Amino acid sequence: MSEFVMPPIKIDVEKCICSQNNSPQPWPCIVDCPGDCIELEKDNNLPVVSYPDECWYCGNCVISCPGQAIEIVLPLAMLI
Amino acid sequence: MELSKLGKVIDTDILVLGGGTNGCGAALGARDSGARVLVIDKGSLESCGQPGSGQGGYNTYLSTGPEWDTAEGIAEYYCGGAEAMCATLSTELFMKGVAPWMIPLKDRLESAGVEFVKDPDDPSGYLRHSTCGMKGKWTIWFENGRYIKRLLAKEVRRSGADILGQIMLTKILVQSRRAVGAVGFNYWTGEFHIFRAKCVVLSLAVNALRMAAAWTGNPFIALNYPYNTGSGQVMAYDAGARQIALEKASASPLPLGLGAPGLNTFTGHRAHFIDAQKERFLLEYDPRGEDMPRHRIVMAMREQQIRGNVPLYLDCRHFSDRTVQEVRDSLSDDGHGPAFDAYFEQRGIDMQKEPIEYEVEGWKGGGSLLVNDHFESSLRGLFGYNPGTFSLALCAGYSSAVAAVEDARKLKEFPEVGTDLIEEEKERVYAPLNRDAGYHWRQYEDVVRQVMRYYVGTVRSKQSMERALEKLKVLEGYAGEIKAKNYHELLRTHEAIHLVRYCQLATRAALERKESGRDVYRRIDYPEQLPEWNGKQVVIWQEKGEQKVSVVG
Repeated sequence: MSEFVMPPIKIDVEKCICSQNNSPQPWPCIVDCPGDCIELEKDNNLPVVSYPDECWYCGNCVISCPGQAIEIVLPLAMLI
Repeated sequence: MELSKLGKVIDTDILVLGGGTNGCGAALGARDSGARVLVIDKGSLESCGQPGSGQGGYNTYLSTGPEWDTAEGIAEYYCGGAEAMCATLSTELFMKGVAPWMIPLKDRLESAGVEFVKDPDDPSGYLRHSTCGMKGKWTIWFENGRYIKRLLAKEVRRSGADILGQIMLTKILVQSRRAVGAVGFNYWTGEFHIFRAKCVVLSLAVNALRMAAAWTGNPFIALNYPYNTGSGQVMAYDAGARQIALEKASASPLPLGLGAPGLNTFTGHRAHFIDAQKERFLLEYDPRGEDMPRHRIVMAMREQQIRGNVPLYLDCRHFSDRTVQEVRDSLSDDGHGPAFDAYFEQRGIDMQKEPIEYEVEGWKGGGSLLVNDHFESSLRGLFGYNPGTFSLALCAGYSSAVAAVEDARKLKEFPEVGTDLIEEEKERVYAPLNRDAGYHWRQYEDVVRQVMRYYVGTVRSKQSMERALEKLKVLEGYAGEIKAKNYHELLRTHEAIHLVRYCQLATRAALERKESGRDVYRRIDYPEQLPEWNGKQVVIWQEKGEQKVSVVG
């Protein structure tokens, strides 16, 4: 159901210091998402939004990210 | 069977269900009273609950001299009369359980690193505002409201409370007509948990979401925390506790599509609504305009929609540069701070040039425990009252836990917990994972929303709500056909099952309230607000498996 949904956030991989430092799990963006929408993508060791259509757009991940790597991407219905 | 074979067993004195503002207040109250406390939440303590991504301010009296600046003054605003903000809270309960903690907990927040906006010229030292039609300047804005939940969580952890996150609670345990704990599962590990306690404080959300679609069509983009689907109300009902305000339906004007109102910030700076004709239409409904109660603003906006007088806007074109900056700073700290920033930037909003389009789609439900004057429910051992406004939620949570600790002290031993019911619950909880095929939780939930939209929407009647109850009952029967592929889906599945059950309770309670006007719906069979309903509450509970409804007050 989720693969055709535009991700609600953009993660700048250059700034994802948890990934770069291989910080212990769970990373702040993952643990602080109140909707359990973000997971670790094991193949490339980066966070990924697994359940984009369950996002509240609350911005908790933005607040918690220690590298300020996350930006909210508004859905189409909010942009028009 | 031994309990420990069924899952991880954790014992505590006071079990707090929910780690939002109310649950944090409860944790502090229990720790200050010297008890062991365990806070359980579905999310993490640092971000869960309504103020996870920010909170605008703290409402309190400060006793600086004027009559309005007293506990009695603010009690009148929250509890007095037909238009009171917290109609479910009596003045007595407010004076006993909320007001005494408002100043001490404000100080506690401050010592925990929360910064309040100061004004050296005000006798209190704080910059104080009147918001939402207040007769006194009871709101103090936060300087760093974006981080409020993290700072509060830090204070709770510092107090020595035990905390467990990522737990979906499914049932309150009852033994010999006393609440003795709860069960749930960790949706990351899948592990089943059994919590035993001397007393339980119910701090789960007072609001239930996802029964109505939002403007975007996505029910998760809701005006409040969309991960609350009435679990607290359903679990309390199953446990046999009496509840009130389940018929409560509220909403708020929202910037088009965004699930965050920010309305107090705008109207506190004298922004006003206009319609397609650029008229200040609210004045046609009430001379107070933007200062009228929020549900009346919503109803007026809906009326304009019915008349086809859309788009509706919030007009800030008269704002000075300084006001714009103040509003932007404040919204950036308020709930959904990062989303508000993104909304302004990505939509390219210049509020001095163009009015901001607003809408009023969607609504949320309510429901609180019916409590006595020390926040104990009709079920022994179960405490808790959540008024749903930040400072009140914090204080009422604190008070509930203080009362719970006093009660827990009377118990010499941990109450017994039977294993048979827990075994049965565990089987029920994991069953969706074991089905070969079935409905996806979202398909199921969409049908719940469709029934609610069509029969229990903005305009409703006895007949429409009775039809909804029939359909929701049938739908509940299909709950056993939802399939979950993993623990995340299992979490959503149980949220959906709580939602269909919550909707039945809310609809049944709404059927009993034979009037309109206190909420964001109109009954065509009882279209007026009736004075005989002032101070009245619809109570709903179950006894020996049979549903009971009565009206008190």
